[in-house]
Amino acid sequence: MNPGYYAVIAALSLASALLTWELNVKRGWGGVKASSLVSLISGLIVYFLRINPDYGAAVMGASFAAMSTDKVIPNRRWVSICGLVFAALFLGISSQAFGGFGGRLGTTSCMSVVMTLGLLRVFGSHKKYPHLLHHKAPEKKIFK
Amino acid sequence: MTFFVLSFFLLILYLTIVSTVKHKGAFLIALLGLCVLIIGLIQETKKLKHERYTLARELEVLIAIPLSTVVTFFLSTKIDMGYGFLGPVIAAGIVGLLGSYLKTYDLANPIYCGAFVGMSSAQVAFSSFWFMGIAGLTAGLIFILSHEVYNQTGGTLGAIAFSSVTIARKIIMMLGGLV
Repeated sequence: MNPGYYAVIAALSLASALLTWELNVKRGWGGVKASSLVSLISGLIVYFLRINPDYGAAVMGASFAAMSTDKVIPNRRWVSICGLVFAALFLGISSQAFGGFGGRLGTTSCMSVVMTLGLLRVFGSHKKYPHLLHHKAPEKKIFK
Repeated sequence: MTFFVLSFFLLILYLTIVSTVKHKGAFLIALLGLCVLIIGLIQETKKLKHERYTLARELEVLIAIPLSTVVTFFLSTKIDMGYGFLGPVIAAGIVGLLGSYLKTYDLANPIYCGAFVGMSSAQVAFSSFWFMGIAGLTAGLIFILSHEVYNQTGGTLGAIAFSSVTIARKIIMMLGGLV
């Protein structure tokens, strides 16, 4: 495959993850509504313009990953990382491996979220996201 | 238990990626990715809780998932708007969006999960609505059992769908295929 294809898949995954997360968490639409709307629009564009269907699939997969709440993925930076991890996995998986099995895309996005959690554990600041690491946040002392 | 089933399918899919990598540097990155995946899975085990749905909720889920599966499969493989069949992305998008508006029953998640199962290609599903119904029921059972597993993590529904399609297909093939 040419590098242009890789770049488009990465850009679409990133944009889709950010958009879905914004609708899901910041606008409070909920994961299903945000993800299905983003997927439906991308699917219709791909269908009527007859573009490579892989682009629609990448947008949909990244939007599944962004169905995570802010208790799992804390902010936009980590959502972007998650989108890029998804793009890498999406490009890495060959079409022969479980091709046509329903949920393969979703499993890939689940994998990307779990890997993002792993990266968050390794590189994320423990003080910044204590609730993600399942420890109680230190109580703030209030002096009056 | 369902946590391990879903994690098993995650690892299987990841290992298929690792096995297809040919370049040495990419292979090392894939192995590093495996370590990160395992760390993430360990993180997930800390969140596990033992909770169950009520019986009425379980029945709702067991009806909603196979229904949405069959509808998605129908839209995906039988409806043609002049540019070929609609395909799985549009079909799942339509079903998921409609499901998200069913606020009285709070069935958005099960319906979207069923839509993922229905995204299977006709070849995988033996071109059969019966197979889709069975796969949908399997997904319903896994959905019920996996309450509080991978909670609020995106892609969980997809992992449930993938494991159910794989399990249902294996069982049907072991029984000698659909009659």
